[in-house]
Amino acid sequence: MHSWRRNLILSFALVTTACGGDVSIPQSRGVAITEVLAGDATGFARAAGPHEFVFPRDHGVHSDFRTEWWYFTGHVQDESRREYGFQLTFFRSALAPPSKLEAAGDSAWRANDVWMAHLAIGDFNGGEFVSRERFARGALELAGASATHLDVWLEDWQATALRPDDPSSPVRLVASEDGVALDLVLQPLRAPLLQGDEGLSQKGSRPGNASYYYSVTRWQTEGTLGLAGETLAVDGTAWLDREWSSSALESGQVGWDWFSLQLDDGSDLMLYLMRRADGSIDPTSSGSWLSPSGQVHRLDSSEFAVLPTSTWMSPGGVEYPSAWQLEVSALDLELEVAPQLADQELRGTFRYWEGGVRAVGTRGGQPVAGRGFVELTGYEDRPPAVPDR
Amino acid sequence: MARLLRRTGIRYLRRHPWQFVLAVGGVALGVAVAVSVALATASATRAFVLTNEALTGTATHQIVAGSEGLPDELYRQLRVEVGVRAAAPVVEGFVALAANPARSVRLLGIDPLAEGSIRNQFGADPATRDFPLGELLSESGAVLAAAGDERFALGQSVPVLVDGRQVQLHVVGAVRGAEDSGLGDVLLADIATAQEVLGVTGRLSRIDLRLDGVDEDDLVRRVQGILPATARLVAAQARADTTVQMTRAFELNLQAMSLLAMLCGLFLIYNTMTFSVVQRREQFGALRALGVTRAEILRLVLAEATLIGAVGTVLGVAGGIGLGNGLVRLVTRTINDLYFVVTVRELALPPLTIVTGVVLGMGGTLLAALIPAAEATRVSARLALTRSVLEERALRTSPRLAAVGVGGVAAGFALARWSGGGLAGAFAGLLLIVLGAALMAPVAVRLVAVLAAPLGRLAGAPGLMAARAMTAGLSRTAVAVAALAIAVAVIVGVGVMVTSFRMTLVNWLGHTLQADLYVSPVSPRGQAATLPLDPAQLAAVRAAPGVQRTRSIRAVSLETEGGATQLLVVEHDEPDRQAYRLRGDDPDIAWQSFADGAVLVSEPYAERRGVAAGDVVTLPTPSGARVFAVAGVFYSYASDRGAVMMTRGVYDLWWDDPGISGLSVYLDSPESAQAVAEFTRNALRPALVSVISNRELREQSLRVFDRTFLITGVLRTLVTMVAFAGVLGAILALQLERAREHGMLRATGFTPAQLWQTVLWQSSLIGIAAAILALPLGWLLAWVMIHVINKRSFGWTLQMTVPAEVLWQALLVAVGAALIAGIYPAARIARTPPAIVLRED
Amino acid sequence: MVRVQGLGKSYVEAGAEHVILADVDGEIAAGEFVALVGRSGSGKSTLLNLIAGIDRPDLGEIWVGGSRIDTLSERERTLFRRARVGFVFQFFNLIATLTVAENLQLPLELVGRTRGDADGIVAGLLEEIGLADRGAAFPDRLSGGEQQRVAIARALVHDPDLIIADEPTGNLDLETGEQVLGMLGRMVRERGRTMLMATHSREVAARADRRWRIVEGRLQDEQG
Repeated sequence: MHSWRRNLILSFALVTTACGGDVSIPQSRGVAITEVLAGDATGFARAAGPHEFVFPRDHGVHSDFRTEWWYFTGHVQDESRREYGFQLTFFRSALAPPSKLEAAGDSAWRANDVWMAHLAIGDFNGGEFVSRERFARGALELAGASATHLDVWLEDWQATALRPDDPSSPVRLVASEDGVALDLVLQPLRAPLLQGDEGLSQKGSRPGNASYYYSVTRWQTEGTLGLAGETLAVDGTAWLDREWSSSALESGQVGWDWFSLQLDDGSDLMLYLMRRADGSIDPTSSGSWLSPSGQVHRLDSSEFAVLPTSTWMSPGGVEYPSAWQLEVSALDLELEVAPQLADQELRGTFRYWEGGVRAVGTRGGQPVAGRGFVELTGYEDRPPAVPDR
Repeated sequence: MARLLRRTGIRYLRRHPWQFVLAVGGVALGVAVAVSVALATASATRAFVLTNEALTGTATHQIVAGSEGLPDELYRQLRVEVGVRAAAPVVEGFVALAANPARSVRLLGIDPLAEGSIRNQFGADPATRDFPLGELLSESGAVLAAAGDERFALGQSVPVLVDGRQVQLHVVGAVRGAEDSGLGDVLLADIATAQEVLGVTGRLSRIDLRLDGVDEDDLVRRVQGILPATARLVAAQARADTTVQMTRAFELNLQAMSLLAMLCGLFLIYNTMTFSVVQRREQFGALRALGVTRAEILRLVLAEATLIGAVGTVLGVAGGIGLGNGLVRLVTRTINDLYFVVTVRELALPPLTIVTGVVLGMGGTLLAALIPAAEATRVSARLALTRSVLEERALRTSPRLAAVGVGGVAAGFALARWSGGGLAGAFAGLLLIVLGAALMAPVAVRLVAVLAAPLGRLAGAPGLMAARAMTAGLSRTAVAVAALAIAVAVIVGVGVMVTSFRMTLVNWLGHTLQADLYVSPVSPRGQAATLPLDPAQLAAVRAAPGVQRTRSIRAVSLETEGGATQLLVVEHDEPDRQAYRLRGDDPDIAWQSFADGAVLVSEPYAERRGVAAGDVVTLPTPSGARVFAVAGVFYSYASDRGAVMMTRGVYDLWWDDPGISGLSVYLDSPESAQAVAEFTRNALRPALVSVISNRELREQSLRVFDRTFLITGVLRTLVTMVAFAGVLGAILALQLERAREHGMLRATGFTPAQLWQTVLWQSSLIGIAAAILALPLGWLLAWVMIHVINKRSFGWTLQMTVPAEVLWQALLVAVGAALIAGIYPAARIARTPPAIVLRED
Repeated sequence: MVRVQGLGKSYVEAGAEHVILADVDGEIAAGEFVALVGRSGSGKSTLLNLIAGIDRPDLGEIWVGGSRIDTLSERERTLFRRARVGFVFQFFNLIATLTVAENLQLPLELVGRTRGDADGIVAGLLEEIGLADRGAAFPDRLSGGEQQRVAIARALVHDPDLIIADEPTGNLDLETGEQVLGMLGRMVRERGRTMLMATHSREVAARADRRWRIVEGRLQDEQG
């Protein structure tokens, strides 16, 4: 469940009604993730019922929904076995329902979608983490995505399926800016995992407050990374998260913690915890476990527990948890999870922590280890709670 | 300096308050005029620069093209192929308020997502929570306006006019602090909205870039590599500079005139100080006898001058600021009329200008006081002083002075005409001419005295006295004459110049405006417009009853090396030969050449770029730069920027632009004008067009002209006031000096009436002497202004016309001013009984 | 006190040279009162100007109080005059924009005497000339005689070595003139100063110790 990402997009889309339109002198950048302004989902499709997932079609864009993203993360190592983490994300946010746009005008610049992309690379041995952010409008082919297969781009950053008709096509990721670059080819090793209830991921208690969500949990990765003037040949594994939705979060939610782990016994785990203002975990929090043989185990909030065991203070004064104890009772799984690097915070328009982690523990008594990514949002001081819609 | 010495000076000033007031007034007025003009022009320039900076942001370069603009695609190429990170597209234009079409507002279309790299001064960070990004991008007609602008209140829907279309704008947000950053008259919109509102979908006005850092040269090269043929990559600063340059000549002319006012003020100082020195000659003599050194006398006089200068300068600067507030409106209006759109909200007060005003005021005062101060030191302590020695010296030196004066005038004239001098040389030459003429004043006075000798027979004793008195008080009379002469000369000169200009303009309008009706789109000023009509509508107008035929004109702007160039495209046929007068002897050959595909250039263009018949010009076309032969130069007073003219045939060869900017309609008979105008307006619906008659267009043009020269008129009046004060002071001084003589005259039997006559006769003689000097000087000034200054400033050839009224008026003003200035002294003189006068020492 | 030797002075007008003084020799001892007599235009004023250091001779030497002044620069002569000479003019020549007291203070200020010091001297002098209550008045409020009395006080206020007077009674009626002359003579003698007075009145000249007569540019020393 990646409603946090949806919130991300919603915040930055900032649709307001006319009565609030006073533009002020710029304040500090950085919008609280969970600040969702009165967004109107009318005119957009809602994730209300089951969806028939077809691939490669569903790798493509779903324009009738308000927000959507393609989230690639991965761990790679170079020839000297130095380890790196990477993230390449494309976010789409629609400004108005497609019908409204037709009434607007005939300029080629008319765009309904605003696109944002993030690129981040962590050098775990060297202790460096760098990130880049871009914006573009979905017009004039500056940014966009195909409707039929996985092909998404923002200017010269792109994630493209090399064989458009093949649902398990390899995907090429290319992005570079200002000294940070990646050029990777990803080969999918598993079929898409439908999250939630056959891909319908409920975010809150009300129907319609949901998204369609799937992941491709393992990819064979090969290519190059560019960092600090050097180009390195690397290989490793990657994870893709895909989600699209239209409606807002529930009130009282302040942020989330999301975990994706690839274990050396061939299984993959995804957990997400929605945190509430009062400190509790929302019961809609959930997760999935994909067994080595491809069986899907859905996990609801009562079936797992996550305990932060350490904290880290970012240069901006935000305190994040920095190590966790994971317990999935249903699977007899216990893991100690720790970041590869303390500072993997992205400090652009949005402030969140997304970084590579190591996991060590046991499953069914057998030792097990792995790597993955953790995303932490909503840890700035006292962000205002989401208004009820 | 001894305290008591200083006290003598101050007490003297206090006992003669009128002298003090006049002198201070003269300085104050002079400084006020100079400062106000400097402030007005500085404010206009600053407002432009500020707005420009806000619009340009941190951009180092801009990609610009002519009125056609750049294709959308270019931006994508820049971003995706060349990889320029700091690039922002701009669509810019003007819209007129439907409620008040005379007012136009700039519409700036930007991509908020690309803006962060270039502009942050909008006070609007798209990423903050208050920015109405969604509405701006998705609604058509959505704009942000300056907070507090009542015309565009938050939430309102405002109709505007562009190119004859009416469009609705919706104000979805307000930008605070917009005025301070020069964006007071700017509407912000998404680039898509701007394209749709302005009717330029598919085109961008320009792309702002920041190309810096280590890769700068490489980036510049790569950007230039993908530019279409009509586009150019220019340095942002250079572009701004070029635009500001446009008003340089206009501003310089204003400033020169204001300095003339200053000059008259300084004459006043000279006058006053001289008088005070002369009056106190005995006192100075006594002081010198008591052992006061020359240096101390000098310092005393200069200290008095400093006091006058200080008070006058302070008043002048304050007055200049007040005057500037009024003047800036006039200046801004003219700049808007003639050059570019700029809004000045308040008077800028750059410290440098104020300081310059102070320096001018104080420095000028001290300079003017130097000669009288030096004269004061030359007062000897000799126990018996004879005035006649002084006057004799004046008489002796007057021929020499006149010789120097003539030399000065000749030198000034030569300097002005010297082509290498530019505008500065021309103004310097003018100054020399004026000063040279001033030196000839003593000779003029003597001339008048000689001519007035028969006055004794005509006017009796008073007349005789008046005539003799001219030469008796030569040193003082000459100064009064000089001051008045300069002022009257300025009146004459400027009057002739303006009249000549207007006459030339009227003639030009007469033969250029041949059609009966002129059709153009209702569009905001400052915009290259296209008449929104399709071939069917055009055919309908052509076939309308009463219409003999129509001709179209296309006006576009091209981006060339020297900045923007206007291109006029005409349908060439016979009437052109009458409508446009060509320079040179063989117009037929030129016209033939024009018909064959060469271009004509307007006179300002030719002057500015040094182009003449037989040369070539290079113009950027969509398929690359093309060279066009120049067939000739045509006279045009439409603008001082200059234009290139070509036939429609040639234009269609190289440009793919079927639009027209205006239509001239020729009628069978003028009576059908009303009906045809109505018909045309209907035929071109729903577009909003303006159809005006020949006469209306002419009147409109002259109105703009008259508005422009309103400033000149105002300045002229101010100069006159200063000069009048000078003459008043001089004549007053003259008369009071001879108070003793007058007292004696009364004692020996002169009636008050006769004294009146004496004073008034003398005043009128002064006026006549001034007129004798002023008329030729004024003519000379006009000549230099018309043939040198105007030509060098703007490039126009003006026909010099010297209307008799100007001369008569000048004569009247000269004698009248002198007479009026003589009234108060005459009254004072006539009133004092003889005894008192004699008792004085 | 004063010595002139071989003085010559001429001026040029309309191309011709006119000789005013030629080969003038004379001496005035300290404390003497010498009257300078001669017709109008005889050169009296010129000689006075030369001795006062206002003008420079074309020929000859001038010694005043032991200093030779004809070789001094204009500025030096002015400063010399400031400290060592006092003037009484025919037309009073008081500074119209200064009060009576200020007129008296002026010479003191010129020689650098401080305020407090000066006030006392001025007050004393005003008393001496009988105008103690008129100190704050402006000269144009005074009669001719009173003005001349102030002029006398002014000439003496800074204690100069030499008093030069140019027809001091020329602008006064007989009676007032007598008064003024008496006062002038008395005050000068009391102070033991030297005085050179130009006059065309025989009566006035009679009061002097000696007379210098200028005839056609030459000086004749007369006794009695």
